[in-house]
Amino acid sequence: MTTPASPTLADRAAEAFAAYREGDRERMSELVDLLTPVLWHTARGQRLDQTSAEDVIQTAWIRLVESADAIAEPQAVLAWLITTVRREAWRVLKKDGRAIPTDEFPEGEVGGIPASLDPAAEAMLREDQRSLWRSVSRLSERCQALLRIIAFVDRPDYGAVSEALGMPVGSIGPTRGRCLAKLRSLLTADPSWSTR
Amino acid sequence: MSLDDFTALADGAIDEIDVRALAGLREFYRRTDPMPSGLTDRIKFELTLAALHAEVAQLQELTLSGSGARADAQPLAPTESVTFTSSRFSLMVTVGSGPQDAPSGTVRIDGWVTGGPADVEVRVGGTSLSTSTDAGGRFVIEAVPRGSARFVLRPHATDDGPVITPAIEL
Repeated sequence: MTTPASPTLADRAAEAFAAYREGDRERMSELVDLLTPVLWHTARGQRLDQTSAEDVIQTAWIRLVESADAIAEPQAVLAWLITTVRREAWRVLKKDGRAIPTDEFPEGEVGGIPASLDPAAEAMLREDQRSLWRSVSRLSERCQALLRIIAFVDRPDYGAVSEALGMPVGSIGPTRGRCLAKLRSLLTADPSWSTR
Repeated sequence: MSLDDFTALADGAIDEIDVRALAGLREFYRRTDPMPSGLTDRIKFELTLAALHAEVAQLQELTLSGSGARADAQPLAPTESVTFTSSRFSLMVTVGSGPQDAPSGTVRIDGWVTGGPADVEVRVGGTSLSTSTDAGGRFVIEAVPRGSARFVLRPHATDDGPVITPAIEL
């Protein structure tokens, strides 16, 4: 039943980070390529504009280099970076007098998705993507932000990442939790979402 | 859906349908809000600076072979020169097409460093080519791949950190 597991994002990151810490400095570049996409979606999910998102992500990487030896387990580097980007994003939002995404329901631009996509962007989406967008835009901002992060990590890493994000993890592994359950119930109710 | 049904759904284990919804979400965000293309390079540059304790030189002037302004992202045309300055060095580089038998897609770089002899490295993509200046501060690097390039200067005379330039398009 079980096939040999291919290394997940967290595994590959842990391997590169461990090698970097043991002196193979070139491996940092690989780590940046691996993890920056999920960090981009972490920062943008917190409603940061593009420039602030870039700044926050750069800060997190500099922090990682500065505190590389303080991270106990290389396996934790993915969750550490996501957590650092979220904290930095909150710091920026607070400084600008803006609110951290909460369970309030969306109004205007949330989670980096405009409440209405521009027509050109929308035309590029397939029907199932439009259906997904309709459902996602009905989630709370917090849920949008969390699912946006989870969408960019591999399934075996959901547990560790969810935990770092303060989402409950069931005793037998990652449960859907409220956000994913809400998305699923919205999608199931949408006839244009195909479960193919 | 009743509250009990919703609670049961939330407490259920993630299955294939959830995984597919998340994969769809990933594709959706990639399309609607992609990571900027130069972001990872900018991060690597920042990390390199932090690791080298390097000084960043300023791009000072662009000597145009033709007339008129030109976007910075455009590759330098043959015979175009750029000058970088830092507190310790100035570096002028001129891009040429090199000999006729040079590999295609490569350029020859003629450079001149003032401020003392130094090792010169050019980094383009994953490639790094190095040389040293002569007594007059001149150097030549042949067969440099085209692309976004940075120069790293390491002075012979002192233990000071290197000087690194902003990227230029070759």
